[in-house]
Amino acid sequence: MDFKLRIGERSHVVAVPSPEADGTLRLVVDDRPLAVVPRAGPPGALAATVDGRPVELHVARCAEGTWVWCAGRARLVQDAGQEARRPSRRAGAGDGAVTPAFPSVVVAVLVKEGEVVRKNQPLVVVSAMKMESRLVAPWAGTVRAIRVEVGASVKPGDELVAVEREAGGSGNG
Amino acid sequence: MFSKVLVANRGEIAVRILRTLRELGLASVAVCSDVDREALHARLADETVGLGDPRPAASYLDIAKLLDAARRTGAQAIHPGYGFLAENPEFARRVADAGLVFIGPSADALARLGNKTAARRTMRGVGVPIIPGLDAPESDPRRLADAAERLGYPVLVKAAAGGGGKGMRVAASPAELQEAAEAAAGEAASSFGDGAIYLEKYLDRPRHVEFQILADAHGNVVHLFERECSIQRRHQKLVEETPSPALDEELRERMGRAAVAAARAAGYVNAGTVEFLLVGRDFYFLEVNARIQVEHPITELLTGLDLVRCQLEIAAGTPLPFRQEDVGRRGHAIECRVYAEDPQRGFAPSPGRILLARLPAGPGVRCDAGIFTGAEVPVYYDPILAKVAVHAPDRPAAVARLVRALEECVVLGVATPIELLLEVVRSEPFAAGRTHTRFLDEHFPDWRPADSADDPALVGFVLDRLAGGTGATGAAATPDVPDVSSPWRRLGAWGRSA
Repeated sequence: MDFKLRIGERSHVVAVPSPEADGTLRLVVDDRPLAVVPRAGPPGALAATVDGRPVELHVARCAEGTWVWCAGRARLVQDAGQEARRPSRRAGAGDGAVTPAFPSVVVAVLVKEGEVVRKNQPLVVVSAMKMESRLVAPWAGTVRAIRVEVGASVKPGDELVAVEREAGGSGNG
Repeated sequence: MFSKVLVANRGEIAVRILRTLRELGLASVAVCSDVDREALHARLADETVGLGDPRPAASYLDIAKLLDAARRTGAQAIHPGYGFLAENPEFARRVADAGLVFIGPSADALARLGNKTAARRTMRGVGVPIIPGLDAPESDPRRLADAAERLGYPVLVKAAAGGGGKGMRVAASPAELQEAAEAAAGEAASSFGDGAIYLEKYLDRPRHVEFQILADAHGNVVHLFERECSIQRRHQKLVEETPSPALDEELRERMGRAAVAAARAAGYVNAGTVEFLLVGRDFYFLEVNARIQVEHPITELLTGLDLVRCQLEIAAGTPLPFRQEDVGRRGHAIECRVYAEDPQRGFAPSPGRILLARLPAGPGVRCDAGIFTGAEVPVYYDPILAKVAVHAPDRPAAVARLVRALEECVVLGVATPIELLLEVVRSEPFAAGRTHTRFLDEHFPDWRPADSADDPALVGFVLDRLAGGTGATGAAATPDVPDVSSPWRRLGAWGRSA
C-alpha cells in the first residue's frame, strides 16, 4: 500500500508493506527506509521505535486530515490521494476573492453595493481573537454584492464582497 | 471576608481564580457568554450566569450585565481577572457604587495609572527612573520633531492611553516621524478612544523586567521579586522567568525599592506589577499593570504564595501578614504561554475545536488551562489556551523540566507555538540568559517547523490507518465530524498483528 501524503507545502510518498512476523514495519519514505517496531505506550498513545528511536504519537482525525503529535511537534497530515474526492473548503472562492485568512467575525463593512472602489481599498474589517484585519479590494472596480453583515462569523473561502473588475483594467487593476 | 465572589472573566484565569475560591471555602459565581456555556470556567463554578451575545462588548465587557449577575446571585465581591474590565476605572467605580467590593485597586488609582504621561510625572516625582521622553501629550508636528531631535533617533511614538503594543510606532529618522505619529494617533483613537500621543527614546534591545508588588489598605507595600519577560511577539509575552538571569542582589534590591516607591506614589492597593525596561544596569519605569498578571504563577512557584488569595484578603481589608524581609524565594521558575495561533503565519489567530488535549504534569510542573478535548476555542476572545510553568532548584534544571513539560503538552486541532517555544528554550542564547525584547526577531526570524521532523508524523498517520483498519477511505472521509476516539482501541487491530 502506498500513501501520497502532504504536510503543509511538502509532499511525501510512503510505501507500506505488510508487517513482518515480529510486527516490524519496513516503511519506505521518499525512497528512504524507515524501520518501525511497535511497542507498548501510555493509554491513548501510539508508540513505536522508529529506526531504533522510541517515539510516542498522539493522533486525532478531522475533516481536513490527520493531526499527529510527537514530542511537541504537531503536523496536519493530509492524504493527497483523497484530496480530489473531498469538497474543497475554498471551493467558493476564486482568485482575488475577498475572504478572511482565518476564521473571524465581521466588525465593519466599509462599502456599499454599487460603490466604485480602487485597488487595495479596505472593504471589510474582521476580528479574530482580538486581532483586527482589513480585507481590501483585489482590483479597481465596482462592488456588486455584499454577502455579510456586522457580527457574522466568516471563514477562509467565504467570499464576503464581490468586486467586478473595472472594464479595460489591467490584470493588476 | 466575603462569602460569595463573582469572577468577571473566562478561560484559564477564571479557572485559576475559581480554584482559590474553592480552597478558601468561598462560594463562586462564573459568567459566560453563549459560546462559553460548555467552557471549563462555566462548569467549575458553584453558579453560572449567562451573558448572552458572545461579542465582548455585549458580554464580558458589559458592566450592567455583570452587576446584574452579581446582584441576582448575591455575590459581594467581583474579581476581574486580567484583560476585559480589569483596569477599567469606570467598572471599579460602578462596582463600588453598587455596594460591592472590586478586587483590585481603586478607580482613582486605575485612572491615574492608565494615563502614561501622568504616570511618568508621578514616577519622576518620587525619583523612579523613567525613559527619556515627553511627560505630556504632544500633537504639534514641529514640537514633536524638536523633541525627537533632542532625544536622538530612533524614537518611539506612544499612545498616552492604553497599552498592549497598540498605538506604538518606531521612527528611525525625521522622515519617518510624521507618518509614525499619524499611525500611532489613529490606532490610539480607534483602540482607546483617545488619540493623544507622546515620545520616548527608543531603547535598543532592552530586557523587560517587572516586579510583582502587594499593597494593603493600611499602607504596607512589599515586592515579590522580579519576572523577566523579554521574549515577546507583537509586544505580547511568550516566555517568562524568575529570577531574571540579568539581576544580581544589588540591582534586584534597587529595582525592588523603586517598584515599592512607584506603588506608594500611585496610592496603589492590591496586587500589581511595576514594569521596567533594563539596559545594562540601567532600568527605566515602563508602566504599572494594575491587575493580576498572566505570568503570576512563576512568582507563586518561587515564593510559595497564592497571589489570588492575597488579592482577596487585601480587598477584604486584611493587613499583609508578612513584611518585606519575610518574603522568601526558592529555586527558579519559567512559564511558556500556549496561544491558539500559528507562528508560521505571523502568529495568526487559530480558533477552532481542540481535538485532543493532554496537559503536562509531574514534579515541578503547573499547567493553568481553560481547555479540554472537544473544547471549542471561540473566535471572539484572547487566544491564550494554557500556561505551562515549571519550578526547579536552578535555571538549567528548570529549562530541562520545561522541555519535558512542553513535550508532554499535547494540543491538536488548532495551531500553537509549542514547537517554536521548544526551540527557543533549547537555544544557546536562551541557555546563556542573553534575552531581550527583540530575541525572536534576531534569533528566529520567519521561523518554520523543521522538515526533518516530518517522519514521526508520517509514521503516526500510517499506524493510525493500520490500527483503524479502515484503509485510505476511513473516518477522515466523514467531513466535519472530528474523530477523537481513543487511538488505544484502534491500536488493538495493529497490536494483534504484531
